[in-house]
Amino acid sequence: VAGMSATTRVPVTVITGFLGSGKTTLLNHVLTAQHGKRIAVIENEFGEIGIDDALVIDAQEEIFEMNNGCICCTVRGDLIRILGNLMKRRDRFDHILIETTGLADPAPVAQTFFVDDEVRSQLSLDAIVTVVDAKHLIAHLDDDKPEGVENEAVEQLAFADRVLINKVDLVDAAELAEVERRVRSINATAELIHSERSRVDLDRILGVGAFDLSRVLETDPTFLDETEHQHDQSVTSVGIEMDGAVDVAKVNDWLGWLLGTKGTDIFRMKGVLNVQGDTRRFVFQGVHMLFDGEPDRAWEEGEARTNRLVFIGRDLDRQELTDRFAACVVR
Amino acid sequence: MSATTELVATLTELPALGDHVSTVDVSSDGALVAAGDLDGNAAVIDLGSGEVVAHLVRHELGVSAVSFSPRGSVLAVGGQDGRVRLWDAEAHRPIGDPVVGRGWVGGLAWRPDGSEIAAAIGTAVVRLRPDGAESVRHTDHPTTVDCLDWTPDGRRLAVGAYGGIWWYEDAAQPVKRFEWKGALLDLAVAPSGKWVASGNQDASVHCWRLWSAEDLEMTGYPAKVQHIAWDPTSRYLAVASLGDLTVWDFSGKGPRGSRPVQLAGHARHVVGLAWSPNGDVLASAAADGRVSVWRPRRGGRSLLADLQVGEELSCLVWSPDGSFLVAGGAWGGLHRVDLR
Repeated sequence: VAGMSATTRVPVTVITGFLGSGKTTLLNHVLTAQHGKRIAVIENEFGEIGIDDALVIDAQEEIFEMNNGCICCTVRGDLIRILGNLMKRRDRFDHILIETTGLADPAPVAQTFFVDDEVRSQLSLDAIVTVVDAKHLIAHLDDDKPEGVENEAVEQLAFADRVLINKVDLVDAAELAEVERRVRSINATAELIHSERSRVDLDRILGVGAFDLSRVLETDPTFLDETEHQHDQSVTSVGIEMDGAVDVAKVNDWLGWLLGTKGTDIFRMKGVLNVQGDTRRFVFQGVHMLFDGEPDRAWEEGEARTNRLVFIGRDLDRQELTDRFAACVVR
Repeated sequence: MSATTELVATLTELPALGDHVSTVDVSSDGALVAAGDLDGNAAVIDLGSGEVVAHLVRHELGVSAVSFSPRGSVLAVGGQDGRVRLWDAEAHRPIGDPVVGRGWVGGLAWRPDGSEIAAAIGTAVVRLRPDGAESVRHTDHPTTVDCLDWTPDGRRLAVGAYGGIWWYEDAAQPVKRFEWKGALLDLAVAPSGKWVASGNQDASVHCWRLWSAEDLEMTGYPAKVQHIAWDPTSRYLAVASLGDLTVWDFSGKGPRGSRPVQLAGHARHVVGLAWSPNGDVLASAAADGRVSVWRPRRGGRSLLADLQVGEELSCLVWSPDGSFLVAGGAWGGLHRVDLR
């Protein structure tokens, strides 16, 4: 069958969220639901146990920073080890779930899937799902951190492809609207899902292909409606939508410069480009300084060849990003 | 090194295990093979009869290391269940109770005189005597220990983890530390006792001179370096990264500023790399299913023997007399390769 090959990669979903947000309930929901998938779970609090068709492995959250000091080379050493062994076994899994600790920075987990070639060749990062407690999220977001210390709740939202707003039964409509507004102001592109007791349609969080280049920006991000300035927070989304073909060399230079100087502050980046002289869309995405991009499908007849980019990060200068990108457009 | 002559390699299939063979070893007298797989099975095979003579106690989530004592007949087996058991390899009886740790067994290394075995279990290293008694435990490492090796005189133990190398004598606390920011995946002390080398997650090889700690680094490998090997004279250091094989020459002023000999290598990643006990040849096994034997020469033909086993390979070991190799396979096969 076309498309099937021995190199089909196993999808991995990363579940982040604060202690008490409902991560473990979500995991149990996934493990007990009738989905017919054989699932392996890597998490931090459990021992190693088997639940029918699943395997649960205890991980130690070992963060490896490499000698060159580059933040993008920070990976989860324990995951490299565990995933490497898991993929060698004859007994194969259809899906792997990784639960991070409540205060974890999602970057090293995501970067593991870009940096380690053994992991990269056999597994694909499917999506980062962040579970938040509707009742307590705003307090966590407003929690004052000492200078230089990251607010983990903000970070976990910034990295998310899906945000599960859990315990919606504990808040009223106005509170929920405020929670959504706050999530959106940080991450304009993640899909928001409401749940009670972490009960969610699994198709909305498993196998969604959020890191699949061909699906980058598949759904219309709402960032363009976001005109409100967020003076009170440093982590935001900046969307750019611009017509015209781009000079690929100029875009390369600009992104190279941008990631070199601001890569630490840019958590996620996605885009679709209309490259001058190419009939195909160019799609890309990145986590911090790590970057993946390739030509995708051909632009369709009558389709508007619009460049669309999204940056999620700290202290982003919307005007400067827009101007610099505009300079890459060939008039 | 003598002139290149072709070697004849012949393949004999040994009884297979059920899953990916994660580890294999040959006993000091060359009579037994022990192997473990990722389903948790460990078996001992008698090479005289070619039969399995013992199935050992399972290690849930997989066996990670088997190792025969250098003299005598004790077999150590460690698994991803964090357990290490010593076995009387001839009577197939366990010696004492298993040692149980938190995390998994990352490696086993017998002291050269056979008086102790060092076992990496999670972030700790536990040292056991052949009678199963624990002699000392090192718990200083912040992350899982991935590699360990003894100095040839057996005086010091090198423990590699994220953050460098910890050196131990007989006390629990380290006597020395080589700090390095990065994760070590393989570690080898040169038989001369003059160097220690590590293969690293960041696609580099790092070498330290003992004991000045003067260091040098070889970078530019295509991927993480999981296999390195010194030849018995300590002149050559072989390094594998993906399918690439390179050999550094440490004679004279050492490798600084020099280029390594590049071998033709493998089409897929190397899973085992070892010099023959007399140092005459280098053997490699890879996921491309080949066992290859090399005599590294600059600019000349280095490949002496090459055998396609018919299965993706997963590990490799020499017999102590250097007359044969045993390679483990990703589908459970155990392949004996005789050389003459």
